[in-house]
Amino acid sequence: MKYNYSTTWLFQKLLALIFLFLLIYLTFSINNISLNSYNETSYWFSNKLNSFLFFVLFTSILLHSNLGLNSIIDDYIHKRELKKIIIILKNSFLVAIYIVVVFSLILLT
Amino acid sequence: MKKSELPISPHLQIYKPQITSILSITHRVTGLCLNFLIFFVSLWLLSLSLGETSYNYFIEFSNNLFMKLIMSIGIFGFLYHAMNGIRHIFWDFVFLLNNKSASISGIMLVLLSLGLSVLLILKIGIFL
Repeated sequence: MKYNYSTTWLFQKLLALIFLFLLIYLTFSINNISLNSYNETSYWFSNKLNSFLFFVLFTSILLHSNLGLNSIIDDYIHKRELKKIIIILKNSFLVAIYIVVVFSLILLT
Repeated sequence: MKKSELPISPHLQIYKPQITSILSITHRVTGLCLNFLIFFVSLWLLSLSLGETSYNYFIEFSNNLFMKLIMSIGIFGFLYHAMNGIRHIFWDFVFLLNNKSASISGIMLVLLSLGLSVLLILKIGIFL
């Protein structure tokens, strides 16, 4: 399949805008609680809307990061074998983080 | 020339450093480094989900000068990356695209991200 750079570019910008707005909203929402307190922080996450928005935020950040890392790898690494290894490492890192976040959010809500 | 032997793009050895190219490279570097912040946030969330003992341990682990410095640099990196991303969107719509505007907006970007970082660090009270 042919790689469509324009769609990727548009997708990356849209993801950035989505998570920027979500981040501003969640920063104001979480501003009222003390992050040093386990009870207050876990109570904030027990609210399903907060957890859902955090999930959307994290998903959009990881997708945006994946596209950004892909373009850095494309621009700076030209050795095919090395590129393959780095892409596998990058994907494993992002998938592991995503699994940890989803697992944690399920436990918290 | 084989594809694997092509010079890296942008060709860092040839370009004379200018404010626009330095800020562009910084955008990529901050984007790369922000992945460590994502990793840190995921560990924070995991510790929260595992219960009070693990959360308190994580908070205690983060409560030292080194981690506070890392968090402050992370805040600057995020604000810089986000605001430069907005600058890129302006460019995509052909605003502020000539040499002078690109340089001025670059200087403003650095000053604004530094100023906002200090304000945010003070507001959160990282060093209190």
